[in-house]
Amino acid sequence: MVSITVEGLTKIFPPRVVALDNVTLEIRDNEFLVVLGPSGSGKTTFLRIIAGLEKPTRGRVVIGDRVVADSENNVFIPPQKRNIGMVFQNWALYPNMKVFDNIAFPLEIKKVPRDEIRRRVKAVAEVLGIDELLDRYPRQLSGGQQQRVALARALVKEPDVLLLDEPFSNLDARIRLTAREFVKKLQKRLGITTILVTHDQADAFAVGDRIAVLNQGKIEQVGTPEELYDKPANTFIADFIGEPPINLVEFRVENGYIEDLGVELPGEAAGLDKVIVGVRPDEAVAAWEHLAASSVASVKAVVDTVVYIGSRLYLTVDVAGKKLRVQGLTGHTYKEGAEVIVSVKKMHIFHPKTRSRIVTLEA
Amino acid sequence: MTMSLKGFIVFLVPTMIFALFLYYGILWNVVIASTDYSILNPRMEFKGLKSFRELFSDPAFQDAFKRTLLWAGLLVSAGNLVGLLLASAIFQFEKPRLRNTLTTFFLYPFSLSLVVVGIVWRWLYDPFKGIDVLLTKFGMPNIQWLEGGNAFWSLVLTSIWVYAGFVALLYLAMFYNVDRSLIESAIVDGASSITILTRIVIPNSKQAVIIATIFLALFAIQMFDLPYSVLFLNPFTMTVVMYVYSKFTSLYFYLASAAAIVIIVVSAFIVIPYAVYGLKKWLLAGR
Repeated sequence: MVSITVEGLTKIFPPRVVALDNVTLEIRDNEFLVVLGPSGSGKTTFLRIIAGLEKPTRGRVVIGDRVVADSENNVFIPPQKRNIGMVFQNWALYPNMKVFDNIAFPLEIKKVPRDEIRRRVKAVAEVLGIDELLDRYPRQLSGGQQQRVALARALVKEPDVLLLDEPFSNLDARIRLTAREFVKKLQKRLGITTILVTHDQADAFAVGDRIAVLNQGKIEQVGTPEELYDKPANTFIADFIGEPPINLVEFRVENGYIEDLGVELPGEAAGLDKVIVGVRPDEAVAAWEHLAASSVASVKAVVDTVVYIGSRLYLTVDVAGKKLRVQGLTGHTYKEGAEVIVSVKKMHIFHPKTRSRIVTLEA
Repeated sequence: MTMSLKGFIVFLVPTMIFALFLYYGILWNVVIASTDYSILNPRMEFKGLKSFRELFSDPAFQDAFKRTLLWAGLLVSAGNLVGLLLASAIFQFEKPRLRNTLTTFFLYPFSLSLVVVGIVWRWLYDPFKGIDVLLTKFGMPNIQWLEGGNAFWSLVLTSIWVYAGFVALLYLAMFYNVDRSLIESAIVDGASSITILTRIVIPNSKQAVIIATIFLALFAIQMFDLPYSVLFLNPFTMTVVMYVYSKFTSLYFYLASAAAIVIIVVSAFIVIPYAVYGLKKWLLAGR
């Protein structure tokens, strides 16, 4: 049973760069948690503090039943005593050692007997499908193979926790898909508590049981991929997650109705004079007539531009002077300047000041 | 990659000027070495390899040649060893400022003129003012640093003292170049700082050995100022360059030139493999 608890974690790099700001998070046993955030959000610092490569300025880190860092009681257990397996962004394979010696390195340090080292390296290499490569040098391997060697080296010492720092960012787009699947399956099979750090939401959605979104050193939201997509806590999450990005448009509120859209607001939202409306392009369709079945709003709009993203057709439309990106129906020909009716299936309402989500309207 | 003609010429001109002066001098050496031009025979007559035959049968040159090679061997091995030890020790400190201060401290002898170093060590080796006086005070036997054959070993020691800091700097430059994540990965895997140094940092700094070896060998082959400023021209510490100097000043120009060519050839043999190695690395870098 290895869970990780992080309480009130703050890291300040002198003179005043606040990398992490009072982060509290719990990672459950056997969980695959992804820390997702744009660059500079403090996600790598978070991982390095768990590993023990950085000391927290304030806060507590507990791995399993052991306090490994506690600023109040001046506890700090160095990385070598935390039993952690870590894969670095560039994989950090030792270029002067063959694959076998790379994987054997953590065991040699622990003074494991020779033949046991050989047995364990062989076993982990088999699990990762690299047993043919043990005699090669890292430079003779492809990116995907190097990554597996790095994983093997991290796993061979049977760590309590596996930490992965942007493990897919150095891989080609093609291999990335296979690598994600592989890592996810491996994690489930070994049942090892894992934290992965990435800036790529596709990585996060592919592997994470839960995702913690970090922004400017603060956790914006923690939840399953579905929760983040369907119930974004605020405009940052809504904007950060989803492709193509969500439409976030400010509308005025009059007598409890959103102006121009004619949607009635429930509860506290009705009392505001403005709201931010979030509509995902995939949850709004532009058509010639009102699509009566299941929509929270349907409004007249004028087609501005037409774009294909992947195999899908998207339109930028003009709704009462505001630009929205919506989905088009394939097979239709949309002309610029033509009048269409946009049917919105789902709509998030955000507070204009705090920018947090008040309610989600769904048909 | 293409370069404009103008750019090509701009880069070529300084190289040409440099080459002109360098090879002009070397060429004159070759010309004089092929004669027996000296105070006794002030006519430039072609004599083929006579000067080299004479040079290699001169016991003073044989002696100087062997001594220079021995000096090079000692300076290369001990200089590398001491430099590596110094660099390893400095690398153990975490604070960059402390590291820099220590590096500067050990680099200091290298920044002094070798003549100054020679004078300082002449005092230190002096039997009536130097280290020996201290040894006597503590009841230990005197070493007689500059007595006869001792002088050579004492000067080798001084040359190591001069260059070790510089070699340490070369090693440190390579150490700092080792990818930080390799070291951190090893830390997470539980490696001690000694293990990290011996298994990861040093094996990935091999180029420093090559560079340091070449520099030390060239320094040793060109050794002149240090022995000259300690003991002047002295049969116990005579190097090839000192031999050139003594022959030139006594107006045996053909012998001085021939010995100078020997120095050039020996130096080239050290530099050529390095140049080839560097060229190979450079050409293969794109692969």
